[in-house]
Amino acid sequence: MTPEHQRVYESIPADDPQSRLEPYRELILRWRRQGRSIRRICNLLHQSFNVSIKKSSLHEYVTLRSRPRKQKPEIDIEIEQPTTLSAAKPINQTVPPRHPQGSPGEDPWAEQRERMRRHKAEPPPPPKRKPFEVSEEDLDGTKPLRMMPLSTQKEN
Amino acid sequence: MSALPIPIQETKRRLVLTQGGKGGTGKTTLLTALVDWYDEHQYAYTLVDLDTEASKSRGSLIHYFPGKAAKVDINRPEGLDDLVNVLQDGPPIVVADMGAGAGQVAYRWFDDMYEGARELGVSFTAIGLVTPDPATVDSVVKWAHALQDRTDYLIVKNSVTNPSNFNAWDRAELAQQFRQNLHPQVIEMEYHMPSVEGPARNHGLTIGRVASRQHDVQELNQFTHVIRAQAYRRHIYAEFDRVKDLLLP
Repeated sequence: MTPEHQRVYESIPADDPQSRLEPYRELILRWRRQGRSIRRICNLLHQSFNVSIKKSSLHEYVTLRSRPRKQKPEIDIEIEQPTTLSAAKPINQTVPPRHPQGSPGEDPWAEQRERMRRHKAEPPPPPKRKPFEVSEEDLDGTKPLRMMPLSTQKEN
Repeated sequence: MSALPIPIQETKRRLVLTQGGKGGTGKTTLLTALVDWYDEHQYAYTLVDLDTEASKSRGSLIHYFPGKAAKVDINRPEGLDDLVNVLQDGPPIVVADMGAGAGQVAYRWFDDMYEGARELGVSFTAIGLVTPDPATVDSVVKWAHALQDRTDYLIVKNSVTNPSNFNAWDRAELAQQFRQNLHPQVIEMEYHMPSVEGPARNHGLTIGRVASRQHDVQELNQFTHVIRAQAYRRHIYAEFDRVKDLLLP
């Protein structure tokens, strides 16, 4: 661009937004990505910002703004790039993998290993005992209830 | 194969991997729950996705743990070597998810590298999932035939239907031989309601995150979904606790 063109370009301010929805563009597009309906977004805009808009206008706005463009997409979709193994970070790392000042033979994962060893040594929890257990046979409703001897009933 | 034991002093590291093979058996779902369990105990680990099916990004480890799971191409000659390199310098646990059909490459790697890895103090846990589909039993048996006693085996009975019938696993002769000779430990993964499982998978959320409401997906915040997710988590954690020897170095 020539210096003259550059000067003209900088002297002319940007046009006002063409749509009054422009200030809410990111919000609207996020709501759409969350799966909210046009009708719901109309209601939300009205409730939250007192912006009244027809469903058809909002639909047109969203359709235009969501259309992919060749050079720069309107919506920045976050595409997760796979991490390579060399760049993979250990998860739940509590100590650095190397101790620069420490002795070369020192195991940086010693604390983790020790916790794992202790965990493995713990006995498995005993199975929880139910306070009231009845055999399947006793629950068979076609058989008469077994009665306690009369003497036991008196004691109770 | 040599029957002589390899002189190993102690297990210092563990590579926990799902057996590739039949797809759609719940391998990744199980691993995500295991990762939740490691997190619960604050154990350090490295996550590796060996599933190279390019189209299968939704539902892969990368989808559940963006930026945390590393992708490794198992078909690259050094692909699996990298896992051992990470174990040598990194956390004592590597969790790796094999894609469907990863068998032959993994078998060859074990043949070449197993003894050296053992000398480094690396132990292996191969996780196989069985469902009511007899093909899943075939897959588990094939892996066992290839890996023999070079790895510990954890078999997960995944109830993909309610109720689930595991006749093939319980009664097939080959499965019986596998149990008798290689003594796998067996745990159960209970049936997950599609109304929880579906949206969780769609949004890349583990059951643990749904259970603790660590997300902003409205449909999964329904009270009943949260309670169900908490029940699934409780159950699978209890199962992991039972077989922790196979999950820790």
